[in-house]
Amino acid sequence: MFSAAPDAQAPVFHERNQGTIVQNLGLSHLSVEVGHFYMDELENGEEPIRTQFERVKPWLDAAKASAISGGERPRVSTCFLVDDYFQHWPDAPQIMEKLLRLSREAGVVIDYVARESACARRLDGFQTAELVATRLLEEPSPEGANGGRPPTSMSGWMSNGRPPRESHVLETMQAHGWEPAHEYGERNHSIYLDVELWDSQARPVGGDDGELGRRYSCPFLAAVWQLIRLGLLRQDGQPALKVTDFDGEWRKEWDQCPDIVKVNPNAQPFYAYRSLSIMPRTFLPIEHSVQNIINHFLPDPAVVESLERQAGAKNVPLPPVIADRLSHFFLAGGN
Amino acid sequence: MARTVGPSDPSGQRPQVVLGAVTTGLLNTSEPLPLEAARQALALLPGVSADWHRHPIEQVVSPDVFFGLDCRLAVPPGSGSQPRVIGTARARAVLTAGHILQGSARVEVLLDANRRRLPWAHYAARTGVVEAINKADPADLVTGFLRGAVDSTLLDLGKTGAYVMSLLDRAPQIDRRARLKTETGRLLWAVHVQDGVEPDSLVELRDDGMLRVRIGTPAELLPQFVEFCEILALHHWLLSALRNAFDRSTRSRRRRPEDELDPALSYLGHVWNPGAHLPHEMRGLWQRLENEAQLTWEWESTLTRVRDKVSLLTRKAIEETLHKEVV
Repeated sequence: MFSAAPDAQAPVFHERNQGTIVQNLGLSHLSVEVGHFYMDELENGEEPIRTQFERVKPWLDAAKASAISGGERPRVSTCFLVDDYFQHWPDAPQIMEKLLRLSREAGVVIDYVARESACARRLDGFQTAELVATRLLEEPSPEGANGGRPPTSMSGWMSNGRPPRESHVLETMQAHGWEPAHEYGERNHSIYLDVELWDSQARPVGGDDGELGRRYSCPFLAAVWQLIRLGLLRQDGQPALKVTDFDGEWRKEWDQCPDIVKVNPNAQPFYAYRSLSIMPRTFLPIEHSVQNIINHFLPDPAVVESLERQAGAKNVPLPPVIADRLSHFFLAGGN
Repeated sequence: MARTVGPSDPSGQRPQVVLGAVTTGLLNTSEPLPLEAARQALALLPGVSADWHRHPIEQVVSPDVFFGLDCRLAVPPGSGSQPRVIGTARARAVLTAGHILQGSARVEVLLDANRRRLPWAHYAARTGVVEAINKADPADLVTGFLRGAVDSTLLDLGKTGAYVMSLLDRAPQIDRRARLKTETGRLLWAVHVQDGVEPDSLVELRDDGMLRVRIGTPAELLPQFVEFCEILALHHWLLSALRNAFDRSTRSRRRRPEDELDPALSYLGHVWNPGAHLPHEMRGLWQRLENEAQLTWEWESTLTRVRDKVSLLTRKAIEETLHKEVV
């Protein structure tokens, strides 16, 4: 036995240089994404945009009324993600004017506008997407991972199981063997999903994404976007994408615009304990893929701890599983 | 160092057993890495910086990286079936004096958690924790793990640590021209978490050259115990590396003795200092180990032999030169 009791004399010398100290964020209880459009939809007529915002409105009101706040007065902020990664023209001022006007007329106040490109790479060149790509952990196969396997996937795909397999037939007489796909965490039956995270094609518009030469997929960038809203992506303890106040003028080029712009000066904080995305039903497969990506994302434990501490201090319930902090409402299709 | 281990499970369950391995080796560089370069090399994940000490010996600790696990845990023969565990292991790299690299991996084991494998999101939310889906006795898991049997179905944290070390091979700061031959040091440790008890520990060295440390301790002392194991692994490795270099210098026919002794002295001679970063709470345990194993005495005596030999070689060389001049 040895004694765990400290020596009689307390230590006088301390040198602890913690590389990263995680900053506490100002947090809303809920971040609501109020609709989504592809860039070509924003470029064209006003009517579909107006219609979507009108459909969003009652659900936004419902979201505000039902935000989980642990007894505090609910803080809800709204945001909109501009799809400028895959295609864009130098018309940011016109589009932003149209977007903010139509949403306002439909009674939907947009507090923050973010650029999807910033989820790949920030205005200052920092590779935001890398924060997620390097923290994705491939799901171990049942009884097939004892600790020596490299932790992340370099293939650019993320699945929740094993694909169907066809065995090679060596002799023509042998029966053709086939094994079905298998979801590792299945409940009775499998829903196997394999999501492409990036490919190696150059980005269609604008510069490439640095040395990696990756073109990120829509679900991957949407997963980055969700994690940003939840305050889980940090660079040196600070939010990976920062909020900039609107200076009254939109730059002509999208890639000159700040990563996240606060367009409503009276808005509640951008980052939130939970998120809700209201969007057309056609985005369901993308959001299913987002969930698959987020289920394999291992957050920095210090960031998790910081959020838990903040939530705990205010009695705000915060689910440990990240995907449980996300919610969606899918608007019906057609007109 | 500054990062924590221990009970972190969101469900409030506490691990009954914690298993770990420390792998130690020489960083493959001709000269020690300066602190600034080391901090860059050990920032293994973007967005998070490495922790570091400057005094009394430079040390840099990487952020934790995580590994997915679904495997079996060893139990002693005759103790029933090996429990299956699912979850993640955490591992970090530790670089001391810019030259001695360690991969330190560990996993907290929750028993009686769930009966089947759950969707992966459940495990991703409990980083560094595995859940056993069959019944198991904590004492059996400790004994089974420390046997150190290698089997592709069993947890192998030594491999995890070695993988983390290999991440540094790619760092641009590494010139891959170390002049000293060393062997990889291996240490396995296992904790039976017992609240309200005095920590009770045993350090064992078997003829496979692997150190084994077992301890029963309350959860609060886990982070300090992990550091204790890293410090023990480092110093055991230093001792072996110096002794092996000395042995080679007396035996090798192909290399001159000074080719073994010079790098050993310049790489290792200044590094011994077990008290340097030893947590306050572990000083008593280290002292007891010193009393019995006398590691510091052995280091000093080996170092003296190395330096004596260098002196003798120097004198011989001077005499030979003088002799030539006289002739």
